[in-house]
Amino acid sequence: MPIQALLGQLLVGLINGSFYAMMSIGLAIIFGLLGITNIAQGAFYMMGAFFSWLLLREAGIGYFYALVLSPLIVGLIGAAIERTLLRRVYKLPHEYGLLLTFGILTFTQGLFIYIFQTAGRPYPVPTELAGGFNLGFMFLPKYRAWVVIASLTTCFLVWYALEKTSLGRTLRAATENPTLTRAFGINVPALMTLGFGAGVALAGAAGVLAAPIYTVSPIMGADLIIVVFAIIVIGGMGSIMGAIVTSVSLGLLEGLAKVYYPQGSNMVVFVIMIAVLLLRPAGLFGREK
Amino acid sequence: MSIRNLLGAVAATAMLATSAQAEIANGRVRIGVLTDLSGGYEQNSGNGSVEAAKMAAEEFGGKINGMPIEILAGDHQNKPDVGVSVANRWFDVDKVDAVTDLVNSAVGFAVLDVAKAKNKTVLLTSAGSADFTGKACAPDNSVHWIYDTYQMGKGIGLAVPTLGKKWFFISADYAFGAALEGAVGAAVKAAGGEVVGSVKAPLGTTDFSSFVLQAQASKADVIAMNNGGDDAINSVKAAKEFGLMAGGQKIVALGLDSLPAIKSASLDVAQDGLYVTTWTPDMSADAQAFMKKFIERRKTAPATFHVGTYSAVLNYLKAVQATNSTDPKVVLAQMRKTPVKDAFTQAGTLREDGRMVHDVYLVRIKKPSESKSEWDLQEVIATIPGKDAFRPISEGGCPAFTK
Repeated sequence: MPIQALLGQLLVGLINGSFYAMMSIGLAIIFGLLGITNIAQGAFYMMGAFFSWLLLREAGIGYFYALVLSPLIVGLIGAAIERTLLRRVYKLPHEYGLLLTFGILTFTQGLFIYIFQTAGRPYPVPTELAGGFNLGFMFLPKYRAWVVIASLTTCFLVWYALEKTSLGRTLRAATENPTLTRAFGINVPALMTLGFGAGVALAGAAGVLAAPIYTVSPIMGADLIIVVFAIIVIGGMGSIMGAIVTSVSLGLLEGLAKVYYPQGSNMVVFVIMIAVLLLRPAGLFGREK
Repeated sequence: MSIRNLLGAVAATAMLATSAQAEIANGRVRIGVLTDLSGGYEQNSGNGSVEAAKMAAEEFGGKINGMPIEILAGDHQNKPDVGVSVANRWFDVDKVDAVTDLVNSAVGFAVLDVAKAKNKTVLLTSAGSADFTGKACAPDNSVHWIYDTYQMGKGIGLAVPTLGKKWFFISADYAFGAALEGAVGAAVKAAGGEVVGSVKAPLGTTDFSSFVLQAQASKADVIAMNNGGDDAINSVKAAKEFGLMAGGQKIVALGLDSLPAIKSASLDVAQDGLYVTTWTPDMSADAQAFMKKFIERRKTAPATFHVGTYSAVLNYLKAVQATNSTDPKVVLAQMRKTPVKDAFTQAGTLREDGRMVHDVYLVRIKKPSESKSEWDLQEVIATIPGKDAFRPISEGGCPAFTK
């Protein structure tokens, strides 16, 4: 493989990796704050894409507005689910949260198939981002460049908000010791709702970013979520930085697999997951408890 | 019981058994539509195929010779083991007489084996491997109704002189993709072309950009997407996004053989793509009438596989009615005697090896400016007579016909 072509493949890997990061960071927040392994994240991703499609078709609301509105709607739905359902399983073992969110995923997917059928819906690339740059070694579509910038910026902002601001400190305190945090007069349940809403809104935003690249369909989240889960297991459940770094590196690795052993490209992430679980059960960036 | 009485009883049982064969077993006709109800092939087969089978049953008023026709639906999830377990339950517990659709050849092969062992009928419609009438053929148990990979390759071979000599393949990594790659490759070489490279993409890949870049780097004149369903849509979208068409490379999108799939990809993305199809709505008044009825019921145009599944079930039921039997051998013999003339084809014949032979078409996807209405998406550029399109029995290698 000539070096030029390899560069192209690595760039594609970076694009996919930053997209994975957007998905996995939401999962990491939710696990870190609520201890819930949110399988339904795939459904929220699908909803994000669907709402932007509906906004465009029903109300003529374009991509850039959808980028804000759609995650907002998804976040509100998430908050409602947290208040009514998830809240009941916090005190139970992790399996219950997993089963509940799996149920939510299947139900939502079924509901959307029932209403919209599985047919993919085209979502046009916004005119501002159509076309691309000729980099010499490859043609880089503007939209893909935008996906990298948008995802990595979002990831950085989320990391910054959690690690460096007072809201982030309060959230982390609420995770470590909810009773004590409450004693300081802080409304912990509201923080939990906010955390879950924000986590799924990130999946919604990833859905909007994905809409112009893939076809919008009720089943679009089902396959993606499995890979993303493998990524956060590798990175260490709940670790924000771990999720970002692992996403990008696995995106790159998957890109290489697509060149050297394409048949195995869907598998490479899982092989690494098995190796990591054997050698470092808490994940690359996780801490053993 | 004396020996004489015993012999009499045996003879009577034997007579009952033979006469039972000439009857519709179980007092009803049950057809199971075994398909992908929840994955990437749902749009082209799935629930639409179930609806199409029901439409065929309704043409008989839901009854044959006073006995009810029942259509069952099952989801094989593109997994051969799931398909086999559904088929076993249908045959053993639910007494299903025939299974149809079977999109995904890997599932098709597995279920065909079960049907042969249990002597049931398989109406292969959405599955495409040419091996169904080749080394895996089962002329007493199955028909292969709509298309196969040999015929797709043959059709696309006609386009080699206009498209270009150097070809690159992006193929689905399972039975269907491999069969299609083999057939298209042979047709390209026969037409004086050359295959400069190929890549196997796992079924259900969402991001094709890496494969598309490899195709672009190959400097091939033509990129053939040997895949189907959502994979076909996503691969063509990626090719458009990374500027392959703009760079002068031509796309053959073999899996976009479906009006709903083209609509999902959008004309803007798929325009000028070529594919081989077995059905177009403009070919007959029957076809147009079916299309109209289907749109009323499903709010979308039928995919080719839907029309074909309707046709296969319709002709199966006609044969059941004529013979008053559900025995595969009896019914299939009757189907071979009866010409096929319906919404799917105006002149089809069922060959001894199970291949339904009919005309096929080379079509081009229209540009957005050429499309006059919602479903006006394609243009026929050549019609290939059935006898030239499908592989002759002598070359198929079906064990029943090799001497």
